[in-house]
Amino acid sequence: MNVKAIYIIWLRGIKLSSRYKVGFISQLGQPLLWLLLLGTGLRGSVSMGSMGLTESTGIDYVAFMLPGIIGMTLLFSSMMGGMRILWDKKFGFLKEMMVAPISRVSIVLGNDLSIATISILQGIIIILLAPLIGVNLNLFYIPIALLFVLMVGLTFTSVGIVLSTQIEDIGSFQGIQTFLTLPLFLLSGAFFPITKLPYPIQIIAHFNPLFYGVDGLRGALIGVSMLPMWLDLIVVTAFCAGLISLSAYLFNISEGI
Amino acid sequence: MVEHVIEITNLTKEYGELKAVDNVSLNIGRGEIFGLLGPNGAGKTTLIHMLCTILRPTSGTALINGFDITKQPDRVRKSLGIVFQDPSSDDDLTAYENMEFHAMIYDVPVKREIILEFLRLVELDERANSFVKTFSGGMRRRLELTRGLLHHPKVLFLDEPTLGLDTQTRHKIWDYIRKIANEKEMTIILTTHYMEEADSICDRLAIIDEGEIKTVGSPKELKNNLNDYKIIMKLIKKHDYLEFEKELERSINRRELGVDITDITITQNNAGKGVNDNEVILEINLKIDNGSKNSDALLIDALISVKDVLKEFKNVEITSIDLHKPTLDDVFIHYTGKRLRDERAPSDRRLRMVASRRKSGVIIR
Repeated sequence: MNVKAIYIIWLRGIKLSSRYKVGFISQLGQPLLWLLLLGTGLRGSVSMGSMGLTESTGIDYVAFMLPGIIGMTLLFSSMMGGMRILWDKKFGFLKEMMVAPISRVSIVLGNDLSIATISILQGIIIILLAPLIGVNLNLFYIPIALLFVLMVGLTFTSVGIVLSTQIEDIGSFQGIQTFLTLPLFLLSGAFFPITKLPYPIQIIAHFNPLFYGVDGLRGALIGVSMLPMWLDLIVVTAFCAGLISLSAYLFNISEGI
Repeated sequence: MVEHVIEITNLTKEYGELKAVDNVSLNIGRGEIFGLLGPNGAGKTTLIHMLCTILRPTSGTALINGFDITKQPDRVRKSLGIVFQDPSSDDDLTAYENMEFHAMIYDVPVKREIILEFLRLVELDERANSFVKTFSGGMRRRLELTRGLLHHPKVLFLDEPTLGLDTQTRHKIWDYIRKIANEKEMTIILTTHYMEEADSICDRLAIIDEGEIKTVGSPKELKNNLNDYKIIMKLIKKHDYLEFEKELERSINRRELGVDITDITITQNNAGKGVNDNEVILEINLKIDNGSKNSDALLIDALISVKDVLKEFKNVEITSIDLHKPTLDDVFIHYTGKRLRDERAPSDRRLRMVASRRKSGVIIR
């Protein structure tokens, strides 16, 4: 593993992403639509009391949803990004990287970081747009929010890379990805607190890294969270480190090129 | 003593029961152009993939440029370049960017002029800023070839560098390869299916089948060792001739041809449309003493003698004469058999599947 190799792989990833502006915008457009149409629609219909928040906090539904939407964007775009390794395998460029005098871990980390960079950029754009739709954010905590964004982005990129090492064709990848993202998303507390779910399902939700990510983001951005922010950060970081290691390990031992 | 850039010792790769490469030992000298020939699924690509450290051997090892492929894969990778059988450039980057990536990752200075110089070598400098996805198969191969040279490898692997390319492009590519080998004193290891190409470009060859090396030598040695010359004539009998075949064979055998006859066959010509019933094919297999300098002259002398023999037979006309000297094709068939390789397709496919499913025996770093 060396930093220069990671940087080269990262740079190539950024170059590729910068050529897919359409993909970038559509990945960003979708959450914004959710936020604008669903969020503002529900704003008047959902009482914050029923969300477990007192009216006096001054937080409306759009503000509640915003961190969840950031989490959703990260989930979708990072998992998609992890597919890059599969594309590289399909189109042969992976071989060029595999015979180069660099470690395999740097290939994984370089890809990880370049995909996470794009996810973070999307997170930042949503945060910047927040004031426009009437959400007041904790400016002091924005760096902490970005730390959460980074961790969640790296976590799900790694999940994507793990899938890339196990799946041979792009169709199955997309199928499995869809199959995974929906429950991850619904059990993350993005649209409603998970305390509203039946108890056994709440337990399951506690194994979902996105739950801690969204909770932490919510704590950082609007000052409301179920768990203490530091605990969220520790859990997300642990998930992130675990999944990066797993993806690097699986990539290391994969032979099918 | 010849300096060996590659020393392979008992290299073996097994996929379960199947031995893709079986106990291969081989030395290759500096500056040599070495060819690996073999039918589909013979184990050439597996061998090359082990040498360039993408596959881990089941047992045995190899030294490349003095570095052990199992213990120092990073050092090995730095000393070699490879052009794969399948494309390995990034479609969504330009030719220049692909080169730039390669230079960076092999830690050679990234200079615009140098990259353009390398692209000029394969006449792609004017397309430097085009995306690789707009390239034809030949252009892509040329790009990958020059990319493999960018970091001045000591050893260059070319896995089927001309497969599926048109004749002009193939000639061009071999020209580049010759030029490079001369100028840069690089050792080149290549696989190809085109025997004439292997014959004209390789200093030495190994014929591989079923994971084993069947024979090694220069193209000339291999052909000489085979020592199978042929005189093939088509004859027309103008009248029925009782026991013509036996008579003819006896007469040729009696005659002093100056070379050793190993076999004479005379058969009715059944091939082709509208063949005359009276047409026969005379095929004489010959061995010519290896020590003799001028095998061509001896072959022609033998032919003249056979013609003289035929003069004794009235009413027999010669319609065509073929002289056949051993070719690399013959050598290839001799060592690998005449069996059609398509019969093996199912097991090859199995091998591929095993290779892609298998998660053990893999390379670290």
